[in-house]
Amino acid sequence: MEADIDLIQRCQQGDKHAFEDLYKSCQAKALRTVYLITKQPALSEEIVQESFIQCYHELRSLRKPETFQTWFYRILVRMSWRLMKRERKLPSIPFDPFGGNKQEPVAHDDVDSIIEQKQMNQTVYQALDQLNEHLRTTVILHYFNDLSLKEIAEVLHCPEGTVKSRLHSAKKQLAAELAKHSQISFFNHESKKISIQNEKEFDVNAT
Amino acid sequence: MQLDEMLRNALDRKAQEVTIGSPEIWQRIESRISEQQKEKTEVPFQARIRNFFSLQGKRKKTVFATICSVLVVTLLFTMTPLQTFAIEKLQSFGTMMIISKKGNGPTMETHLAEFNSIAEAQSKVSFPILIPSYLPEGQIQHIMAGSSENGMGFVNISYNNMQGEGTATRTEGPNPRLTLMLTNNKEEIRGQSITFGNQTAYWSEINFYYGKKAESTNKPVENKDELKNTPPSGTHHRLMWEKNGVTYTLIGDLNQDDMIKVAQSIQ
Repeated sequence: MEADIDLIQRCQQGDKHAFEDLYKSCQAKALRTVYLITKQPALSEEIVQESFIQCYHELRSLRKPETFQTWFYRILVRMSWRLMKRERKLPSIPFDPFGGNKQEPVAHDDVDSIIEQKQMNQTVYQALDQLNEHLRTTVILHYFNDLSLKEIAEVLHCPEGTVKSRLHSAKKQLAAELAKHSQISFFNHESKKISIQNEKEFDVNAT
Repeated sequence: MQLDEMLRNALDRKAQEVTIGSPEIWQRIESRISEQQKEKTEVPFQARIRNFFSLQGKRKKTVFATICSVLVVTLLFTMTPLQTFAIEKLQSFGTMMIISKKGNGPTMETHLAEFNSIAEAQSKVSFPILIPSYLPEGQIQHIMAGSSENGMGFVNISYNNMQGEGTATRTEGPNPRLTLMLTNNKEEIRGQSITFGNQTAYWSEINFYYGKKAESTNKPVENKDELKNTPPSGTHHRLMWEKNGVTYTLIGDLNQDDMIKVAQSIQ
């Protein structure tokens, strides 16, 4: 979600057309991020809508336009958590192994590998679904939004060490879940490897 | 395949499920913003008050902190002990020269302000300020005057010698010398009766004490129980007399002859 600094400055001056451009450039990523956090399409739209309204009113208080991305993600995440709490329910959407609405035609030879890939995605997403709100959000911001640990720390308003710890914990849980759900020995091996690797990384970071 | 890559793929795939580009969202955002801006310009006073109590997050904290600050400052300047404390603190910064002084009467509380000249101080009291034309040596250091709501005036003029900083009543520094106090409040006059000219005056000695607290605060000990077995830190002389409804009090370390000469020179 890279927004042009000039565009943000024009928004800060109250230019509505600039804000519409900003919305258009950010809404896709914002909606997808919120959908991954909430797992509810209708609620995601409401959250994005409320977040952009809040963004419009508070954008003038943003001193450094170059920090817009983390600033906006912070609004988005907080709004997501707040409205999810209001909903008081987190229905898990059954994962459709054959994809979303749009099916692209594929070559006959690729079908097996595509099905295999989709089954793997399903397993990973189901494992992700088992994580709590904070861990899942951290994983989404890191792996879907490509935010660095420092940026995630700014978004979640917590120390960088906490983000590292959450990622480590999430990956450990995911690896365990994947190993549990899969009969393929690959996962056991991978889980073990990841666990050892993460522990090493965590030790290095901790020191 | 690494877990990182698997996570990226799964999240990307899942994120594709949501439909992007619905124009309704932007339309709703636009209309909400317009409505809010319209409301903002038309918010009646009562709604503003309601909104004030429903502020969120940082703004709420700021408003709360401001209200608390105003309350604390108000309390500081309305409650007497806190008021005294605040005034003392302000005095220490040299921003306020007004002090509070309680008289003998139960209702008299006079706020004394410091003045640079007798003429200025005269505007604060209803009786004439007469000062001595004779002084053994020294100069005026402080002139303070004020009057209470019921018309009681009080003037305090402190003299020190050329070297010293102290005064007879404040006594915080070396070489205390003389203080002249004038008031139209009815003061209790005690001491040995002496006469100069046609005037009867009363001579007495005053012991003053400095306790452990006094060493640090430069204030005389107020708790009299502490003084029972304490030798006085020093002795001053006091000469009091009344003339034309005004009570004159001289306090200092002058001997009786010098004190009477000073008193006689007050015309």
